[in-house]
Amino acid sequence: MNRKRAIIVDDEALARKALRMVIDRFEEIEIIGECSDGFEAVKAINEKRPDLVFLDIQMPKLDGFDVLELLGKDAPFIVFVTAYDEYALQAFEAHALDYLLKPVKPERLAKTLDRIKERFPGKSRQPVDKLLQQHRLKDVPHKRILVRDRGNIYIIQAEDITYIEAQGDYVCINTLKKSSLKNDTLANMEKMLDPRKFYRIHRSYIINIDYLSKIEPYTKDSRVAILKNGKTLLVSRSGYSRIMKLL
Amino acid sequence: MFPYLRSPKNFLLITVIWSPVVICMTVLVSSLTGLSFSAAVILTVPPIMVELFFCLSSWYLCKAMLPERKNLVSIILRQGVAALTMTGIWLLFTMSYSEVLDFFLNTRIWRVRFDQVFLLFAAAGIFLYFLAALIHYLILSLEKSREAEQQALKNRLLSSRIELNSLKATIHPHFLFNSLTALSTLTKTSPELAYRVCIQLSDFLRYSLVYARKEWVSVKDELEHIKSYLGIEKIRLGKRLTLDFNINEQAMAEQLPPFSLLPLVENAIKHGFQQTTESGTLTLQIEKYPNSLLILVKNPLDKAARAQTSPGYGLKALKQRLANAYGDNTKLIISQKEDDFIVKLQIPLEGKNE
Repeated sequence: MNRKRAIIVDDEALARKALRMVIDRFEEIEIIGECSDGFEAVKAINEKRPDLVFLDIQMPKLDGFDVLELLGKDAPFIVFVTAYDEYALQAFEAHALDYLLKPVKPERLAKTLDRIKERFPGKSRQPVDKLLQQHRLKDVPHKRILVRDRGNIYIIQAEDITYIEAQGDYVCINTLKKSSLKNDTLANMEKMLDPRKFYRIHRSYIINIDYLSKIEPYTKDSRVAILKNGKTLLVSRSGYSRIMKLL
Repeated sequence: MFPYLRSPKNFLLITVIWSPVVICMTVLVSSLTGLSFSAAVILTVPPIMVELFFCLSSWYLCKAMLPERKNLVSIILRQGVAALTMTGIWLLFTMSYSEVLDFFLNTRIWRVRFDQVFLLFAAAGIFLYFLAALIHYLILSLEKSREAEQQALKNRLLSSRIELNSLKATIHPHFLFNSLTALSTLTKTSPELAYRVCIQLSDFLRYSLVYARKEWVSVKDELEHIKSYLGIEKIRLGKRLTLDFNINEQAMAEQLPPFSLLPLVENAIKHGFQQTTESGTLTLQIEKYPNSLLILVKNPLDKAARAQTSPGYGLKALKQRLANAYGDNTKLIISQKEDDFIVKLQIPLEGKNE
């Protein structure tokens, strides 16, 4: 029998130990790591590639949903663990995802393991996309954007963003200090950010109005936006009328 | 227009109620002047129908001049003036009506007939006006008492909701289940610590159940309560949490509403410690001044954490409860200095409500 390799993620040491004590009763699971926050979790999951992650929802800085978002398509099978969170429970129920309630009972964990074998033989993905979509639209507008760049995770404060550019399957998020790529669409970004601050000026650009210096004519019927750091971006006709309407 | 005329049904009803007045007046006019019944109808019915509108329109006057014990005389006087004025206008109208009749019928008798019934009409006008005003006042007072009843019902609902919420706010299920999870581990790994958590948890729960019913508790009791809460949190958070208590001994005996301190430290734990992986110090300071008690809670705030957009639910509920207990005499000030989040609560030592 091949054992499933699992990682436990929880910010409280006693909670990790509690879960470990329950999991230890099951031969088919081997715990290959413990993480005490979301940053560690994303890193460990990338490096160790576990089959299974027991993921706490309420954690500092990066919560369980953030971790799931950052893992994107690389996410292994996730078992959500929570003490009590009405919002999370509703979300799991709505998307038919399995979860464990703390303190975790061995009988309940056994059931979860059975379900995993039944419903996800092999390595098919869980239906987490809709869950994430719903979660991302919960606290709109977002005050921060999470970016994963190779092994590192950055938290970009929305107020620091100068502009965002679409680049194929990615968006390039620019601040005064650096640019980061995120696997997302410009339309999603537009939905998540504060519409009073961020304007879609072009099919490929969203700008932060706080960093806009001026808009100048470019050719006969096109314009450019000049940002405070000197960056010049093309403004489409519909983008121009949108920005004039709102200013 | 008038409250009675909002629906056609009401309009019909009013007409039916008014018809005895019309009939009485016609009979009176006919018998007093010796006019034929049909002549009395022509002379009386249209003016009395107009009088109905005068009577209805006094609704607004009544509404504007609600009688109270101290202004009763002035209201009666003013309504008297209104009755005279309205009746005067009405009589003028009725006189013009009789002259119009004469003009179109080419007679000279209607104006004379009007003069015959002038005194009767004047008396009826004033009487009807006062009758209408009386009915209006009756309806207004009925409406007022029904409103007061509804308001009382609303208040009762609100206060019971506040009570329920405060109970919910004192025992967070999240706190309870996380504590039990930690406890389940401790029973195996360190029974001695598990025993301590059991005691603290039962103290905490007992206080929540027993003291929720009290109106005032001492600072000392409140301190015991938050100490059992923080004791459990400290075991869960480990070295992430350091406590620094700075309590003025003289404040211990002072009274305050139950659960005044818990929301303050809960807020600090929730936003200061559960949102960061760093370790920090929670400071609780209680000072006693001649007329007030100052409670200060300070916790570190991690900027990378999810920003706290507004004061949490617990603090908002606390504000509401303190307002119920003290009126406007409490101050709850939330401030942020660099990496510190500070909540200051000032409550008066005297001048509690009731």
